[in-house]
Amino acid sequence: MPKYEDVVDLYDDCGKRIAKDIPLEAISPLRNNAIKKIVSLTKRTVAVNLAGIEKALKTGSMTGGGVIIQGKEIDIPLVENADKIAQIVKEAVQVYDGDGTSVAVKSGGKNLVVIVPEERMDAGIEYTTGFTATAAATTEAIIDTFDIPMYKANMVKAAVWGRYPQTITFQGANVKSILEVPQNNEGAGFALRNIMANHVVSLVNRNAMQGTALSAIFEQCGSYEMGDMIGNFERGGLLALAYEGLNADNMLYSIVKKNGKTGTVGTVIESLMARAIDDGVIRVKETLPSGYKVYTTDDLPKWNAYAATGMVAAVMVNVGAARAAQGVPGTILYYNDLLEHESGLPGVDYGRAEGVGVGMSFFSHSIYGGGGPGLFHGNHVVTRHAKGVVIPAITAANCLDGGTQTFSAEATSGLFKEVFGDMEEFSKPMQYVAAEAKKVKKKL
Amino acid sequence: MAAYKRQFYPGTTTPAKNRRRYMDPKVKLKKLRDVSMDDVVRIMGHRNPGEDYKSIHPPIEEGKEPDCPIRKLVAPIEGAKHGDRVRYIQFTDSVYFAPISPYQRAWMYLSRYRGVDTGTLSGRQIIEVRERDLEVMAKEMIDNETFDPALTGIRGATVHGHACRLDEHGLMFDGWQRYVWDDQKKEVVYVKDQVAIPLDRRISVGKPAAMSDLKKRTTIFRADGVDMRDDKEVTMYGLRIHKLRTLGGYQPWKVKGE
Amino acid sequence: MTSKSAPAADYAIRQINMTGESLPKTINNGPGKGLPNNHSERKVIHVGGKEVELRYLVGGFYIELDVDDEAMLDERLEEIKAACNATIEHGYTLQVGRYSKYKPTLHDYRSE
Repeated sequence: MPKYEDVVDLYDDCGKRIAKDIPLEAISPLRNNAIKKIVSLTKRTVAVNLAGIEKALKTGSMTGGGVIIQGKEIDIPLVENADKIAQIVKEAVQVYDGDGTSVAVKSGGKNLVVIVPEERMDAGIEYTTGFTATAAATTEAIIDTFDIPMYKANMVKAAVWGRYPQTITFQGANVKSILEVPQNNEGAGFALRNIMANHVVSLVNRNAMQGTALSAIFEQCGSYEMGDMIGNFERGGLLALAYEGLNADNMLYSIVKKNGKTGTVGTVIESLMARAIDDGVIRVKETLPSGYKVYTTDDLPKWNAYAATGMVAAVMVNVGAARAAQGVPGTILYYNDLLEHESGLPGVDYGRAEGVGVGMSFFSHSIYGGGGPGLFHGNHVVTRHAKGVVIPAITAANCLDGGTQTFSAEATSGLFKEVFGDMEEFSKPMQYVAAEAKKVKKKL
Repeated sequence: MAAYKRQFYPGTTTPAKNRRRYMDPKVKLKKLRDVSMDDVVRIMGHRNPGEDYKSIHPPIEEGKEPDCPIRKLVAPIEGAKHGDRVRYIQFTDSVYFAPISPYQRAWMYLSRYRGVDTGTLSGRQIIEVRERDLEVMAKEMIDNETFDPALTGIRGATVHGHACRLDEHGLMFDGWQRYVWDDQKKEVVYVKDQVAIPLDRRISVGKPAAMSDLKKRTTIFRADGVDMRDDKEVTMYGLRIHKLRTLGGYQPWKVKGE
Repeated sequence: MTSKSAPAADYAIRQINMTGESLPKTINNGPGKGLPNNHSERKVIHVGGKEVELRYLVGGFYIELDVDDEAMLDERLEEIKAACNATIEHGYTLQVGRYSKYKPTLHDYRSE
């Protein structure tokens, strides 16, 4: 028996229905294996920049921060021999043949993408295993293949691993993971929230709907890991994941479609209110002397999910019109303010999304510190408060940017697009999750 | 089902009604003056009139954008299509019954315009848009009834003055005196642009409105005007939202029919 | 800014501080940084024979009185009120209190 009565239809990023009558539980990270695989791949997939290693060894410029170590340069044709290195890394990383390990050569030998087997991850408890196994395997592969003498081997280590462990992070490393080191996660359960919006933008190739979905999946999984989705709280988060992230009942796509050509944040609110009234989520409680209608609901978590969907739609319409990501915090703020004034009901995440909008507006403009919109994530002090519902909107905005940002996704996360770009689990999460949801439905 | 019509804001008093007026895109705001577009561009100070727009990225061509269904649904504004820079205009509204107050500007911009990045602080309200669209919006804002020559300042920096007493001519304080009082014509004249670089010509923005008129048009609730506590609906609204945010933030599934 | 009055010590006014919103001499940030700020209120006035350059849009005066007792204080206040009534058109507020340091502190004790 499904846990919740709620049932939704799932639609893809182009407004086509791909799954009918899905019970809410079928998209829960706890039951849906597609979500579990996305999360697992996030830990296990690692990019190796062979061209970067080759250059670092040749010039001595490595570990970031302008450091150049002279006198021990190594000139080896690493990119040319990518296939050989890939083979050695695979044999080192895999546990047994056919365990799911994969090492693929990309960009003509300049990059490798390594998927570390689950067996390795299961033998321990940290998620950095993917990174460490790959980095160590790469280091040994290079030393062995090119007969690096003992006294120069440390240059190989530095070129591959970066300045770690002198730094907490793998600063300047030529091996990259989507996740941050555990020490940078401020609090229990923040690992999946510590993924920069720009990384997600790269993974989905700037597709705003898929970016929203992937961010929503990461954020809601983070919410589970933080203990936020326990008992009665779970339904609210799953409803937000369904409507805001996975385009349930095609609400997000249809609101954007209706308002895309000439619409404003104001008209998006009109559409959202109409939808909420039509679907019976809210109703008029009383009419005041001025004619103002005060709305009420018996299902506040569902209203919250609707409001969150409207928020992403407003961002897509307003930021999309400008093709400039900088407008996202202001849009989040005033969408919520206008929605609350319009309905008399609380905004997204009961006011917390509006609060994040205020802080992020401040810290993404002018002289006040912070950074561009692409640099924020769920672990960031400014944007962590409205769990699960704000980061998807920020990712959507960053996807829609036309090139206005200095710290664009191409600048900060270009490697991920290059190397993970064809992994459908990351680039088309909506289809992947919906297909699995249909299977889960049968089991419930 | 009939299409939903926005109701904007609760309240029965004058400031509340004025707030609704400014927010409602169907209300055409009165044009009180006509400052030429070239003069608006001079006051903003981002380019010289007649100069080409600078761009920060290549023009957006249909069909050449990344493959994203949302890009196909959402039409870019003119400036975005050309890859314009994002530029700003910033207004300061005096608390002494200026026609509009900072966060209502934000509500107004997001109800009437597309592609807007706006921010509100107590002493200033900024709007950042692609340059050519910004100029159109800025001219509308300066020409229409939301702008009063004496009580609304166009200030890009050093914005202090929104809560200071008015001077002997009824003008809001400006540390860089971007505008002066022309005693002969009884008009307010801009002598510096919004970042206080002197203009090469004086730009008149016309006569300030009388205080009795402003009190009818203002959106600010003040103890010496209309006290917010005297507007029961607005006060009730604030308390309601606070209550529901608190209850929803605690155990939202228990909130039923509130 | 300070302007000391010229007359003898028994007159009771030690010091007058004028203050208000700041009017900088040069524009201090933004594209116009460094340019002169030709604000019309930034003028030179004459106080007791001396020239004082106004750096603020003056709206407040801190007048330090050196008096022996209440009676003398009241007398001086009447004089000041008369002068204000005669010259300040739109009204003013006048408050009596301690607004500046009037006795040495422990820090002064230490540093001397």
